[in-house]
Formats: sequence, C-alpha cells, structure tokens
Amino acid sequence: MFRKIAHRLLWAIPTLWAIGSISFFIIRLAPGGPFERERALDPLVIASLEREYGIAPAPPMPPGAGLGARAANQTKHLARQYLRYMGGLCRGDMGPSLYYPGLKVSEILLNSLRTSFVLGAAALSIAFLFGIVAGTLAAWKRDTALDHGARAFAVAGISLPNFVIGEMFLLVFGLWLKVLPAGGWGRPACLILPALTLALPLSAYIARIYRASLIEVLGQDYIRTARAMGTGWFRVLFGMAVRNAILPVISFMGPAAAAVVTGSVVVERLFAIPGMGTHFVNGALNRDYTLVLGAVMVYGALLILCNILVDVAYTLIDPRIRL
Amino acid sequence: MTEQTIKETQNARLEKPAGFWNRGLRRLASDRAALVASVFLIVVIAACLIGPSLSGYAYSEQDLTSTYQAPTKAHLMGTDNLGRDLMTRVLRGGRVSLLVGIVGTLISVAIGVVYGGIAGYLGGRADMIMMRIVDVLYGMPFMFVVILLMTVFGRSLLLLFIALGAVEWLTIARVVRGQVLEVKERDFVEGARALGTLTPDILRRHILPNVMGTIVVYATLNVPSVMLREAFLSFLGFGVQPPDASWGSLAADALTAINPARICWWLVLFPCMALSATLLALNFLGDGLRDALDPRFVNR
Amino acid sequence: MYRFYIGLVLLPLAICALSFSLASRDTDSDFSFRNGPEPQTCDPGIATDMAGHRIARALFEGLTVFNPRTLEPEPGIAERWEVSEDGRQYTFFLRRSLWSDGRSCTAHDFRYGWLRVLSPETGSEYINLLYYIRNAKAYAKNECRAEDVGLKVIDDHTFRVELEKPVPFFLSLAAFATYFPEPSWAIEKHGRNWVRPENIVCNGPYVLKKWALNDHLLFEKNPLYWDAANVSLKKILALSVESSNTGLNLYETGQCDLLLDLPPELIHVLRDRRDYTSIPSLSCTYYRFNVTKPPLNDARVRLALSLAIDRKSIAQRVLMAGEVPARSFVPPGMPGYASAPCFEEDVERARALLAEAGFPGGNGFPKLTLVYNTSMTHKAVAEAVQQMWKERLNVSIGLENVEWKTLLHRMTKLEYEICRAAWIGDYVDPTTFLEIMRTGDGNNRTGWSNAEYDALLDVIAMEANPERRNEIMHQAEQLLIARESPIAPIYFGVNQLMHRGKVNGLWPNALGLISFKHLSPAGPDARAD
Repeated sequence: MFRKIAHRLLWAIPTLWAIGSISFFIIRLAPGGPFERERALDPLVIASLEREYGIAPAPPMPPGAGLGARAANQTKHLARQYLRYMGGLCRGDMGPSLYYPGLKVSEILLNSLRTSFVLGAAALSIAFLFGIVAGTLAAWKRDTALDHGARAFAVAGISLPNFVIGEMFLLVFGLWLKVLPAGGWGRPACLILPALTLALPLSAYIARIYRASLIEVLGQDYIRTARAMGTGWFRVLFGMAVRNAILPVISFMGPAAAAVVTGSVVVERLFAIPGMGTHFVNGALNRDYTLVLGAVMVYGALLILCNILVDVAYTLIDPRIRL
Repeated sequence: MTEQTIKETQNARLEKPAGFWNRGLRRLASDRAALVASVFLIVVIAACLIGPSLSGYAYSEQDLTSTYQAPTKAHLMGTDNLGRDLMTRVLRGGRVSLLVGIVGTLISVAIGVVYGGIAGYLGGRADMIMMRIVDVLYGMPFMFVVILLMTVFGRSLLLLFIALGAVEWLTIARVVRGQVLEVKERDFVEGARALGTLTPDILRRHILPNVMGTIVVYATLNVPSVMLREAFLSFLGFGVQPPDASWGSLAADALTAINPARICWWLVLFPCMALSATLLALNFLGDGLRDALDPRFVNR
Repeated sequence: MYRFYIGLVLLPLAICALSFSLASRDTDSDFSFRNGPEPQTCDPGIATDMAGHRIARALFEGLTVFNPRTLEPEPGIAERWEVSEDGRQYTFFLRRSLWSDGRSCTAHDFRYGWLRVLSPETGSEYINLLYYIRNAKAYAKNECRAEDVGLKVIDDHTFRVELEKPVPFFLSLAAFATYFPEPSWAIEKHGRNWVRPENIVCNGPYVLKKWALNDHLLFEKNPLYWDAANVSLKKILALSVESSNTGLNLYETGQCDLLLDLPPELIHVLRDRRDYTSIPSLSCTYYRFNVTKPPLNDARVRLALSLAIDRKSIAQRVLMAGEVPARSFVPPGMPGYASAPCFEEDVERARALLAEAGFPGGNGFPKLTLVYNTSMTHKAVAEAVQQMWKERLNVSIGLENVEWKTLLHRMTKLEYEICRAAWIGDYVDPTTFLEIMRTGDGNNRTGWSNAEYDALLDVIAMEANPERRNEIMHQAEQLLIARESPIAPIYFGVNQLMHRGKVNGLWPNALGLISFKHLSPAGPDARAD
C-alpha cells in the first residue's frame, strides 16, 4: 500500500507540472495585462512594474527582423519567464500577487483556503449525512412512495442552479424570518446557509449513487443469506451492506471534496464569504497571473491528494482491495 | 475460411445490438417516469421552437413604459426590466438552453468517444499516456478553463458550446475507455481480429455498438449538467449575449429582483421552473435509459 | 462498524467547533459600511480604486482636506498657506502633528511621499497628477535629480511647492490621496508591506487594526491625531463585499449601517425610501466612437448617432437612480463651472446628417458593434441604445459583452467600433474631463485628434481669469460634443447613500467622500426618527 501511495505521489509531480504549464501559457494568451487599467497608466510606470514582477513583454526587435525571428524572440522571452516562475514554484514560492501590491500569493491563498476549508468540510459532512440516509431509505423501501420521494428530492437537488437555491435560502431564512445571518463570515451561524447551499446538490448526488450501489449489494448472496437467517433489516442496512455499498460514494467524494474545499464563487458572492473560489474568477479577470496560477496549482494538488485518500479509504473499508 | 463465412460471422454480431436496442426501448416504455419525462421534453422542445413566433411579441422588443409588470392578460408571464415580454423570452431562452445542452453534449460525446475508444482499444503504453493527459486536464478547475477560453477567443454562442463540450468530455472518455477495455477482451472481438478484420472496422462494427448503451445514458445525463454549467456561467456574466437569453441567464438576471424591498417573483419563477422541469425530465429520462440499457442493470 | 456512525455524527460537530475557533472575528464597531469590492491597497501613494481612497482618507491626512459639504479645500496638516502673485508657488505652513508611532510629521514626509509617487518603481496610477510640479515629469523620466524638483523643505514645518504653470485648483489637488505624506522609515523597513496593520504608520484620524482580504478592514481611532479631540467614533468597520445585492441584504439585516451603491435593478423601489439620498457625482458615462474606422471617421455619422439617443428615457426609465441625461461632457455640480447642454437631441437632424454622410434612411450603413463590459446596467443601457438607433435611424448594431480587461485592451489598441466608457473626475476642475480627449492622451482611446481642441486646452491651462477660462472651456466642450463628437455622452452618474441614521455627519457630495472624522453617533432622538 505504501509503495502504491509513493508511486502516486511521484506521479503527482509531472501531473502538477503539466497543469501549471498549460495554465501559464493560456493565461498569458488572454488579452490585456495586469497593469492595463481604466485610467491609463503612465508607460514609465507600466514598464517599471512589469520589470519588477518579471512579466515584461519581449524586447522590441529591429524593424527589419523577419516574422520567424520575431516569433523566436517572443517564445524565448516567454520561456525565460516560464522557467523563472517554475523555478520559484520548485522552491515553494508562488510569487507576489500582481493585483494586490505587497501581498504574497501564498498568504492570500492560505487565508482564503482556511475559510473555504471550514465551509467545505461542513458542507461535505451535511451532504454525506443527508445523502446516505436518503439513499438508504430509498434502497430499503424500493419502488415505494418513500423511494420515489427520495429520488425526486435527489433529482430536484441537481436540477436547480445553486445560485437559485442559495438565494431562496437567503430570502427565507435570512431576510424574512431573520433567524440566520444574511451573509458575512466570522460567526458560527454564518456557516449554516452557505453550507446548506453547497451541500444540497452534493447530497443529491450521493443519495443517487448510494441508492444504486446499495440495491446492487442487497441483491448479493451474503445479504440474502443473512436475511434468510433472520438478521434484522437495521443490521443489514447499516451494518453489513454499508462496507461494500459505500465504495462508489467514497470515489465520488474525493474529487467533490477537492472542488468544495477550494471554494465556490457563487456561494461566496451570494453570502459575502472570503473564500478561495473568488480568486479563480477574479484572478483571471484581473489578469493576476501569479494568483490564478497559484489557485490552480492548489486545486490540482488537493485533487491528487483527495484521490490518494480515496484509495486509502478503499483499503481501510474493504480489506480485500489491495493497493 | 471463405469470404462467405466471414460475412456471416459479422452479420451474426450485427444482430445482437439490434435486439439489445429493442429490448431496451421496451423496458424504457414500461418505466412510467421516463415515459412522462420524454413526452414532457417533446412538448418543451416544440413550445420553444414554435412558441416565440406565436406569442405576439419579439423577444428583444422593448417597451420602456411598461417595465417590471406582473403577469397580466397581455403578458402572461409579466415583463422584465426593459419591458420585454417574459414569456417570449422564456420560450426563446429555451432554444438557447436546449441547444447549449445538446450541442455541448454532442461535442463532448464526440471527443470523449473517439479519445476513450482509441485509448481503450490501443491499450498498453498509449492508453497510459492518453489517460495521464485526461488526469492532467481533470486537474484544471472548470471555471478557470472556461473563463480563459472565453477571454482568449472572445465570446460567441459557438464558443460557449465548444468551451462546455471541451470540459465535459473527460468523464465520457474515461467511461468509454473502461467499456472498450472490457468489450475488446470478449470472444467475438477476438474472433474478428483473428479473421484479420481491420481495426477501424472492429471499432465501428463490434465495439461501438456494444458500448453505445452506456454512451447514450451518459449523454442524456450530461445534457442537464451542461445546461447547469451554462446557467452558472450566466450568473458570472459569461453566458449568452443580449438581447439573446437562456433560462440560466434569465434566472441569473432575475436574482437581483428578489429582495424584500420588492419581489418580482415572476422573473425568477418562470425561467427557473422551465429550467428545473426540463432538467428533471432529462434526469428521469437518463435514469430510465440507464435502467433499460446499462448492461449492469439489465438483469434487475 | 458502529464507530463509523459515531464518526459520521461527530465529524460535523468537530467541524463546527473548528470553525468557532478559526473564524471568529471581532465585529464590534460603532459603525460599519460597505466599502465596495476589496480595495487593491490602502497605500495612499498607489491607491487607485474608490474603496482604497476611502480607506486612505481615514488613515492619512494631506496638506489640505475637503470640506465634506462644499468640497472646498480647508486646512489639514497645513495650518495656512501663501500663494505667490503668479500662482506658481505655494508655501504651506504645517501644524505640529504626530505620526501614529509618535514621530512628528514634517515637510520632509510630504516631500518623501511625493517623490516616491514620482518614481516609476512605486507603480502609482496617479503619477501624472503630480506633473504640475516643476521638473516632476523630468524626475519621473530620470532626467533630473530629486533636488531639482520644485519641492523645497524650508524647515520642518514650512514646505514650498513650485509649479510648472499656474494651477488654480492646486489646493484641492493637495487634498487628494496621491498628495499625502508618507513615513519614509516605515516604507524603507517594510517595502510594499508597510500598509499592513502590523507595520502601518499613519497620520490621519484612524489607524488600521485589521485587514482580512475580501472580508473587512477595521480601523480604530488614532489617539495621536492632531484633532483627536473632535473624532467621536472609536471603531469603524469597512466591509469588502463584492456584490451590491449582498450589501443590501447585510444592510437590511442590520449587519451594515451604510451603503454607497445599490443594486441598479432595485433602485426604482429603493429611491422612494426615507433612508436613501443621492446626489449627482463627478462622473460621466459615454460611448466612444473609434474615429479610425469608417463610417465613424465621418463626424456627421458620429453626431447623428449621438443626436438619436433619447437620454431622458434612459435616465428615467432604465437607470432610475436620479442620473442626469448628459448632453455635455463636464458634469453639473462641478464647483465654479456651469455645465450647459451642448446640443438638443434631434432625430430629424440626425437623419439628415446620416443622409448627408451617404446613408439616407440608414441604407447601406454597415453593421457596427457596440462593446461593453459585463454589468447589468451597461447591458440594459446598451440594449436601449441599440433599440433607439434601430427605430430612429434604421441603423442596426450588434452588442458584444466582454470582460473588463479585454475591453480595456481593445480600447487601447483601438480594436472596437463603439464602446462604453465612463470617467470620474479626479479633482474639482473641468479640465479633469476635458484633458483626457487631448491628442494622444492615454485615456483618449478613440484615435481622435484635433489641433483646434488641443490649442484650446493650452489656452485654458495658462488662463488665470476664471470667467474667461470658463468661456474657453465651454467652447472646447462644444467642439468636442456637438461638432466633432468622438464621444457620445449618455448620462451623469449619481453618488448614492443609504443610511440608517446611526451617525451624524454624513453629507452626500459629488466626490462621494466620507469624512470619517466628522462622523458622530446620532442621539437617541435621531434614531427614533
């Protein structure tokens, strides 16, 4: 198992490198730069800032230079900046933010990741709890009203855009009943509405997956034998079947966790939460190259980590599975 | 072995998928939810195609003297911030939403099937490299990729389709690869190969029909997810361009209109109802198709 | 197995407990307001956005300060000043005042701060606001030494500024954040990080206590501020909330006491409420025509398009927040200058001009595209204008929504046909608007160049007589809007204020300034209102 984990960790390096490289080059293709602003900056200032942050455009070529020479000049120049950035990353330095003077990308991401982690963990727990309960009920009372109800809930949960769900929660609990804060961050109560908004579609997916997988497991011989021998439904559903039926849910949870923990821009905007999802969008819009690259790398790393955790969870839950 | 026997062998294999489809359709027809869903979808598609020309208003026709009107006889779903008839816009928006869903899915299915099929069929080192590339692309956050695609290449409906298709194909590629890996070990493929059938023919005649069920199921379930992503992009202002609209962009625009200060409920309710009812129907249809076509579920 | 379920239940509990400890914030404050999206920085030398300037004003004070009611410059750190006869030399006499670390604030700090802005390495967007100072531009280009710049420290509390030419509005410039003093010792020690709460040294009514990115900034009264006796609020919370809708929700649930802009879609309901006030701001929203692209290279076509916009119905039916239809470039409310319409909208004349230019009845007019950046308001205005041109001139244009940076890039590179733009005055003088249309100005972005207009601007710059100066400015504006029309003004914006009456001393003004030192808790009577 440890060998397998080490192997996957080793693979993570080229994967992350590829993610970083692709992102680096596409973001540099986007029109407009970080220092292009509504009030035109003095060319002197732009030049100086671009030098400071190491993103200056290629030095001009003599007018007689051919197209090929120009392209080569551009490529060489960008390649140099790419190497410098990658070199920094290898040393664990994600560089300074280009939009917020004086702030380092690593501290911006760390702060927002902390917020998003708390919110994401709460949402995942709620989703897991709801999803498993709904999925179990639906599988147990298959083809009854309960099953149809749970399935309808599950499908409804993934049939509404989450900004609509969030807005409805906000309107009802925040603004009409005034029982929960309508936004902001810093008090435990602030966690409830955004976590529910994030959790609802997730729990719907989990319920769907778990129902299908539980039905399959319940049809297997060992469960039938147990039932025939008089084992209670409760023990079967919550004891014997879980071990096998939970596996597809676990593999769904891995990537979902990585996505949720790195924040959701919709929920952050609706509820004024200082999370990480905003940086993916605003970083790209502000052409804050380093910030958005940093965010992408963190997401990629978390995704790989979560997938490794899924593998570990598999072996812990089902000893037959060898990594 | 003669030419004749080869033909026969191939024909025998070709029959199998046909029976499979018939059985699948029969099973689907007995699933009430899926049946209702498909009828509903046909009605929605028809309404979106014909509706805008029957409503009596143009989708972009503004009337600044009658903005934010609640539903009346003249405007069955009320009017929006520029006095446009909401019903016309919802019907018209449906065209865009459905088109995004369907075209986006077709693009992603096309890429996914070709890519996954090749990887699965080739196997070995080529498969490993191709799947590593998928892993890398999986590691790119969806939002970031789409926003960058939109900024680099400018905005148009076509690009929206391509962008959404381009991020959705990964899952399909993985699923198809898995299926192909499984199918290609079966006897009839081995047989065809032994007979010297060309690789493209094996793929087309033997492997594709056998993974078709899975592809159809995934494609159906993929349509709602593409439509939701379009809605999400609209929320961020990256969706379709005005005066065009989609259900997602109508719902996102309307969000600002629900506040205790004033609730223009119609602006939110109708686009959301249209969107979620369609997604519900698509999901039920997808579930039904899966029960009917997915080999794993066949014997249940 | 049962351990698994216990874990399942305990996990959410543990996470809630974790969030208690991680995310607790001290929201205790006397007053809180939505400051808009996260400010880029609150370093006064490089702050660029409204949000950053608002914070800089709370933390620092310049030679002069704006009176929040009249926008007249009043004594700040400078107790009094003398202006030379030719208007080119200002001598400021500084009061004895302290920085928040106890050092005294002297003329050296002003000189340091201004020279810092003038160094391109600092990266100040407003560097050209200092080009009025003698040799400032040469210094920025590294063509002369710091000693040659017209900034003379006579003694610790006497500061002499020499200008390139007479600048009648220099005292109001001196109240602008770019002209604030800066503590050399803190900046040399911490570099760009000197504005963080743990490093910051400031001389204004408040000090920065906490800065949580995308969340909030908290300031506390500065006990060493020279006028601390008159500062009444102890703690102020500036919320960095990106969406104005979310801001309104926070206001409605009592988490925020003041909003400075409101969701445009709700404005027609909110504007009738008693807690809402608005006042015209020094801003103009206009459409740029790319004069390098036919048929927009023909002034008649540009004017025709401009004349066919029904600005009144845009202001009243689309925007609805009290915006003023703009038929000139300089907004009303510019003190000392009476802004007057340059033309009246006239559809007949527009059609005639279009016909004259070779497009009778709009026939043969190519399909142009109007580009705007992502926003509900911009979208609604663009859709309305599109409709007007279609109905009135039979001219069809396409709309294209691009994100902000792309629009900027395309404007700068002149890769557009018509685009949305807005300009907010930097200082209280009409030239803050007129100057941007000068040939080759970085903010012109239309490709338009007119020798007559440039000559008028040069005359304005040297004219000392206010009446004569106003007259020439009107002349220039007339040329710009009603003859050449490289831009079509649409509307003048408003500054909004939604305020639950928790404090006194909030005066709506054209610059949208909040003078934090003038805020005081409202008495119980005021709240009962």
